[in-house]
Amino acid sequence: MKTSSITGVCFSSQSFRWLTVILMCFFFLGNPFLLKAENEFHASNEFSYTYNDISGPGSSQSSLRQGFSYLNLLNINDLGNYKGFDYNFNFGLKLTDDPTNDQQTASITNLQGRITNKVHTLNLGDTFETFSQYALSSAVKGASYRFVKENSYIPEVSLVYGYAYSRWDNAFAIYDGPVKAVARQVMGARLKENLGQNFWAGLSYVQSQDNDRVNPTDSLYLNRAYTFDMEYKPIPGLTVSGEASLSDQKEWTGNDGSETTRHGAAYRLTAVGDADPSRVTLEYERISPNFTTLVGSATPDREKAKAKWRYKYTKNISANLGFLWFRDNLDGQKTAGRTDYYKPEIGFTLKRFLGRAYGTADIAYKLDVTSNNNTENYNHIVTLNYQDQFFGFLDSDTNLGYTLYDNKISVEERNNEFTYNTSLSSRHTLGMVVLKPAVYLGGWTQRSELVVSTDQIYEYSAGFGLDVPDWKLTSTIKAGQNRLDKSVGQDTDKTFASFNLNYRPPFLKKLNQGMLFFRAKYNDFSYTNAGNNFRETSLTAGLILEI
Amino acid sequence: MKYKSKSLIMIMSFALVLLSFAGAQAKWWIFGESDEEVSISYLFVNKSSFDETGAKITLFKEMLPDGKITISGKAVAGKGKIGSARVSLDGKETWKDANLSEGGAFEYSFSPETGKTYSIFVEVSDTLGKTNDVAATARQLTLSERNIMSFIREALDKLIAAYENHDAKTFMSLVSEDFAGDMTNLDRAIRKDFSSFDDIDLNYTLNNITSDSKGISVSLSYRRLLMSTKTGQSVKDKGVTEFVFKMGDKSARIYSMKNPLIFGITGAPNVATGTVASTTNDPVIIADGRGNVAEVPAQTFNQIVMDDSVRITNNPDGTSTVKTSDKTITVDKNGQQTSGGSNPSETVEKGLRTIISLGHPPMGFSFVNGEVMTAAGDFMITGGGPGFGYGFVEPSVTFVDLGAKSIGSVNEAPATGYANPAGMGVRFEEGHTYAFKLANGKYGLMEVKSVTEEWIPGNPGPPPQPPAMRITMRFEYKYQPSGARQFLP
Repeated sequence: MKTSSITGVCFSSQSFRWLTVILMCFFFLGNPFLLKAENEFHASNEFSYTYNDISGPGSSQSSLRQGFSYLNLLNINDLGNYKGFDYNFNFGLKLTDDPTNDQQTASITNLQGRITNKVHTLNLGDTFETFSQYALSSAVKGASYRFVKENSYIPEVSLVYGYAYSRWDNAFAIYDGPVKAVARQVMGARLKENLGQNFWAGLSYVQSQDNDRVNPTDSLYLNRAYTFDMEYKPIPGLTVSGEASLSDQKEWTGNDGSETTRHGAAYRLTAVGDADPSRVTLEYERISPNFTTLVGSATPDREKAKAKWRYKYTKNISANLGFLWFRDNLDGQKTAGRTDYYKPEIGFTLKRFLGRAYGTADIAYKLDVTSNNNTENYNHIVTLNYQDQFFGFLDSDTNLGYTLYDNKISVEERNNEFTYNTSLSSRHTLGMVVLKPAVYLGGWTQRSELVVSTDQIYEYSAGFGLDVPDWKLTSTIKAGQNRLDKSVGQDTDKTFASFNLNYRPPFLKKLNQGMLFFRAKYNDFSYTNAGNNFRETSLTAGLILEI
Repeated sequence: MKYKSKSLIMIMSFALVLLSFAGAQAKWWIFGESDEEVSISYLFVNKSSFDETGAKITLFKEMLPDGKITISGKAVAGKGKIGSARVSLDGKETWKDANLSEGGAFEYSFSPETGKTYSIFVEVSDTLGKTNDVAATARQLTLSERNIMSFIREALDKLIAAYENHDAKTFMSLVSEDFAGDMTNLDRAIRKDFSSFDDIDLNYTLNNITSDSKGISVSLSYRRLLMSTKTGQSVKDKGVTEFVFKMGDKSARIYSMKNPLIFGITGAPNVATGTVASTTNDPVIIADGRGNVAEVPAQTFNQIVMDDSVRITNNPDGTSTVKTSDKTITVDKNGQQTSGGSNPSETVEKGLRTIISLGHPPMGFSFVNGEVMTAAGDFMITGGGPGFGYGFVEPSVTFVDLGAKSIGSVNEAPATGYANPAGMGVRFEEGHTYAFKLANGKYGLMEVKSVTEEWIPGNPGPPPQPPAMRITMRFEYKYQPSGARQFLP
């Protein structure tokens, strides 16, 4: 029995180190001084230095780290043309000593080289070659090749090879421990053919194979997906697209080394009709419980139908209607039986509301129904948004919401929830200074009818912006309070303040662009249990340089 | 069922509403059909459909493999023939001829200047001089001066600000209409998040951005602090997650998200399309559909996050109980698992089976597979009589006779007393329940419901069959795959 085919991190890390050498060669070969080619070079660097102070008996709850820390983000981009080939090189590096920013002190964020003559395209390093939703829609660290011959009957060919790592640290495997990840090797090929002017079809094969466990109990997977996708435009404005995929998966569990084989299928069909005054979307999707894709996008055990209609009734009135239904337990495999979800909604947008030039009202009703053998939930959601301008200078944005959570069967629950918030803002120019005052008032109330309890949140804040465009200076200051009052459980009170300043001094313009910035943040959390109280102050100063 | 009839009524009502609106303008369903004889079937800018781009298009150098923008499409002229196709980049001030094929397909490419906005129109004419609706092709296209990373940061900053401010409308305006987890699910999930969390504090640094012509893949490291409105307690975590963005009118828009989600976490099973493999076992925040929240070890998170039956109970002592379809675990305030494993009552596999034995080959039963099989299994039957089956138990399996009791009354298999006398036959008595300790170390129960015998006369064939006694044994079984001895009802 094969519990893990560990070709190993050593092999992959060596490969990636070679890849780095190749990319670096590519970068230097692409250097304009070496090649005398048409070339553009861009670099940006953002450096910031932060001081955090956390105090109080509950300071362990803070997500910040006490003391000084730095963060540096460097990006280099080199692109140009040489003898009919366009090339592009990207490199990014992140440096920090704060583990809440990143687990590593130094990590490569981007490493990519691409060269193309419009027919042949070769990409090395960071590779994002989207095949289709089910087949491949994740980035890999590796390489891809694409052949496209426009205006010919030769099919478009795409090949991908790499590792589906989230970070370059994983690919290099230089570090043990903190950033170790399962080595998920990805190989894929795709053929796409235009069959006439209005129809194309594609065939994809994608295989992903795990090769190394991070934890002894991790499962390893070998996944193969065979996918067909297409798009057809039968009449102007109407697009019909579809995808069908078969998957084979083998799983080797870490616990007992047992091997499990799964076979699944997924397909979807979508029709979008888009032309004034309507946009209509119809969609059907069925993904079997055993369908698996490790580098595509799919939620197994779903049958879904969807209809959406956006209708522009007049210039100022438009309507949105939607209906979504989906269910699980497609093979009857769940002992609890199937669950059905129904989500209809209707909404209207009314511009020039009540004849007001800037008045826009959005009103919507949404219903969520969840239904199975044990429970039947009805959530009724009503939302109202109104935006307007008063007295020619005072902008307002008001939201009202009401939700009724009505649980019919298993756990008796009936909750009412109200949300309400309004913000008023304005903008005044006084000589070379722009003043932007703003106030915010919001709240949330939840009432449980059965246990007769009420929880409430209040928040109010005031802000003030001051910009001096001639000096390339912008700033905002904001302060406020947020309070959670609970019938049962802890009450919480948070007092907050923040200050942001951005300044583009003239001397940095000599480089290309640059900005100095300063950010300050203060939060004071108080609880019913004073042993949880804590305060956090964060000060950050930074410099952005762009060449 | 009750809910089905209600659902039917609801669907029909909804359909009626749709139909009533349909009367507002006749033939709304005839997409784009017009009186114009000359029209454009499809129009693309660098392989993105004009229908999906919106009025304003922002592109980045990183998204232009050859540094060029190509406008392509196909024109039709009813019974006539397309005679010309041209493109304006300056608001119809000047026109450039596009390459036109015999069938009406056309293409025009140009090398854009960074930072410049192009006001694009496309005009196609038939040989009689009739043209398409040129105004409908208007698009403002800009090749951004900024790099794609700053554009993604701007989109993420807007999303986070809207999420922290509980602003669902602004947040959803930054989500692609074809969001892979479905826009409706995400809309409901973030509203549930807003109801469940206060004082949201979300920070990130980018790990990686990679783009192709269809989208932008983003990996980021995040840290967050949430206040649960259910308990008044704060929870925090940090980790790595991934997004795919698509270009929108004014901003990049979310196309898909992976676990651990930073938005819509109360609807993770319906919103996320995959899980980023964790690089540590640091605690990760998980929420159930009711908005209850807990921190669990990353390994546990990966196993349960897509299970829509997850229910979380926040206990008065600060611990949380997380119950899934096959597990119940308890975690402390710091996300460390203090107890857990499978819930014995929920992992038990059970069923009713019938073994029919004609002497040879013996017929057996496997608890692991729940299947009756020929010449294999944990126990096998070769004969018997009224009220008992006779056979043997596989050598690596031990068993104990619990006596005349029903399987339902046995809540726990005994810890000791198992045996398998090698080479000895076994009588399985009707009405008795037996406990088995299997070769894989796990436990099974079996109650003999009935045993009958029937004489089957011989058959000269072909193939010839000798006369035999047919033994039919009906039994109920339970198998506990978790390894526990408990078989709670």
